[in-house]
Amino acid sequence: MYIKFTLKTFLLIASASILVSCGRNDAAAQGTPKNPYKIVWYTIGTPQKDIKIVEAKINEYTKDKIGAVLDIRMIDWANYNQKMNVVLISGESYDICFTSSWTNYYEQNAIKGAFYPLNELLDEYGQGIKNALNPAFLKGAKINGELFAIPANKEIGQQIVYRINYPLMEKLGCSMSDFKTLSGIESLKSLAPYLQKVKENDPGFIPYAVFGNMVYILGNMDFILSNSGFPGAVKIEEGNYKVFNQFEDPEFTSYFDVHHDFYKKGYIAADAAQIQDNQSIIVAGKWGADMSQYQPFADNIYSAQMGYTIKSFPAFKPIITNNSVEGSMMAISINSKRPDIVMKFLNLLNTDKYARNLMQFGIEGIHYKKTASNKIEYLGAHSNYEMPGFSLGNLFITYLLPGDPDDKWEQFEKWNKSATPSQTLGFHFNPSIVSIELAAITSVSIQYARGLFTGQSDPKLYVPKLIEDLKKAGLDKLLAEEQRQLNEWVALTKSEQ
Amino acid sequence: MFNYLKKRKILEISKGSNIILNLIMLILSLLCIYPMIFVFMISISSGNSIATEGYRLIPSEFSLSAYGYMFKIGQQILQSYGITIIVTVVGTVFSVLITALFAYAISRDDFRFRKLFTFIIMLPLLFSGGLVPFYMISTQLLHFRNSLLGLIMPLALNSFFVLILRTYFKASNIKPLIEAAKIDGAGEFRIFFQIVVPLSLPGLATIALFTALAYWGDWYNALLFIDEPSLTPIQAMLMNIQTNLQFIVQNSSSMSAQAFEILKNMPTDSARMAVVVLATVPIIFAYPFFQRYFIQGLTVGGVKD
Repeated sequence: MYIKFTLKTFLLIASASILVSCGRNDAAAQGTPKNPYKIVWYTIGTPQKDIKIVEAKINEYTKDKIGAVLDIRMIDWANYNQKMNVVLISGESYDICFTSSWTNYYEQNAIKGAFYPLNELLDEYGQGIKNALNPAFLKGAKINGELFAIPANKEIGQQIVYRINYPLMEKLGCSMSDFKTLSGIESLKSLAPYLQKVKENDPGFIPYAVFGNMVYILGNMDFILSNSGFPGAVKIEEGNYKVFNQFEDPEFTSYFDVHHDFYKKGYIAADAAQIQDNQSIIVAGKWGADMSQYQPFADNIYSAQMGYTIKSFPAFKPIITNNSVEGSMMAISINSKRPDIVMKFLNLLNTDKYARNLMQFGIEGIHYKKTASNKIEYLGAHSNYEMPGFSLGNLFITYLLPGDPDDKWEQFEKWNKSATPSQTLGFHFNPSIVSIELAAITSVSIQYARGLFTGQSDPKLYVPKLIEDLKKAGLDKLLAEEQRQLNEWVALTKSEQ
Repeated sequence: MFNYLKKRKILEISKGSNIILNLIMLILSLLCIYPMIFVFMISISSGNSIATEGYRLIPSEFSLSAYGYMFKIGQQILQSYGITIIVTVVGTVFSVLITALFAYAISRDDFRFRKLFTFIIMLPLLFSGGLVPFYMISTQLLHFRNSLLGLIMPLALNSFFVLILRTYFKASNIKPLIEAAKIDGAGEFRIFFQIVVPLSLPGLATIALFTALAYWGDWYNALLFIDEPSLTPIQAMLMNIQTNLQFIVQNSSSMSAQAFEILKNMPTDSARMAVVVLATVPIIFAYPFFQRYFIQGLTVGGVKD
């Protein structure tokens, strides 16, 4: 009897879910101003109070323009990945989501088939996007030749800079010309005399404020797994496709030596490997230098954030890697009912000044006021609508704020053009074949990386140990597989040309 | 001289073990209360001292500036408190009601389908559908998105509590009373609400306390179903404040310099701890009121004379 009953319940539930799925409106008939299609859009950032007001305003515009209205769902920073995981696995019907190399992982989800392939749609409805974007963006974002998300037009490269606590540096009688720019490890070494002075000046200061969670990148290597903690790298040179283990590379490990030297001399905090972030110490101004990422006018942003001048000098030229082009993207769901309309909307967002700025800054007269045709100033209600601009598409058509130079976006484009694309841009390693080795290697890497990167562990002792443990965990197999996939990719791209 | 031979009372323990047991309890309580004190001390440390010394129990410099941040988000805190209180109160009342009704029904021998319904309520104890079907049913069939129902319903019926209460009803031997009431002409609802419920208060209070704590501490359902700030409960808000800063700093290299613009609006370490203090203190003060029932309730499963 129980069995019968359970069977009945299952039937009931099953039929109920069929009924629900039939209950949806016929999407094909939608897409006109009178019967607009509703675009469900998951985006990242702390949910804002005035989002519904702005949504209503933008809907008036998009309804007539492309026959669509928006349902914007903002998910807070730290929750976004977990939440999108559930949304993707459950097959929930949505249209657009924010995706990137650092949350709601683009490559994994694209390979899993969660995103709609965009090559054809882009040709048909996305000409504006194609014209606006630096071609390297689309090249790097393609997986096996197919595009699965639209990158936002912003700074394209990664550039390692050392940031300097400028007022302190002046007080100690140093100048920016003391440091060697664009010379890799020599740039780092040139900090030493200044760091020594910082230490002597006040022992309460931390001269070189690195911390354990920092992601270390070098400007002349591209890491296959997009993370310098995991073995597998190529030197950025035209035509060089030799994969090597960076932990066995003298140039790479020389950074450990210098950091360890700094650590012994007391330039680096004793517990640096355990520290999660260096925000509070930078806020307090009790630091000499640290490492960071650059984009044009980044110094202005740092300084405005902290309330005192921070200047930076580059250690490497900017490079373009998969990681750097996948910083902010928007994907269309494989379950979207009307990918054509959604693509039209993405095109609008990336090319239409009114729609783009409305999304980022809110409504004119409420959240901001115009001071010139291209310049704005925030009003009091801005605090109800603070959107992370970089997640909302093309930055180069957004308004300028007080303090921004008039040629801000021209400078960005110039900087983007100056960046060197890695020769492996667009190569995406598929880890599924070596997933067991990779899991073991990950745990080895986590065990050593923090100590080595922050200079806490002696590289002479721990680098050989690390290599030995990596070998036990299957390093050779991983490197061989990386090399094999890269060779395959090279052959494929050559034959396409 | 023969003191040690003096017969002890049946449940009394020797002085020595008493002291040791008390000491162990004292250490355990200190371990429990220490993090709270630590969080409070960080919330009144100045940013400077945190930056240079790290977290200290007694910082070199005190500052109340962290609580200034509360004015900035004060409205949100109040709002979130309101949501949590509504959810906890409504949820607990509703949950205890349906748990008791269910448990009472399957505790009665004269209920024909009691085995079937016991089986139904046992089933989710052994197998669960998993997160994905749960999410699909909740959002697509029941439309819990951005609705308080999404915070109340998922925790409303706990199989385990139903079974506890069923056993409690059975063990408390109220059958003769029910029969007597029936003879006097009472209906089923009158019997339940006027005889069974008052007699079972300690059991119900225990279930109520556990349920209330579950509702108060729940942030996961908010993560799944709520993205409107006005409906975010206090624990979910806390979670966000605590994790956002670390998340952004960790990913700042991928997010580029824009991450720093976002960080500008994020609270400092001490402000985050201040939020924890403000969010936890009320429940700490509410605890003594619950405690009376709590101790009573703990004896629920004990031996009856």
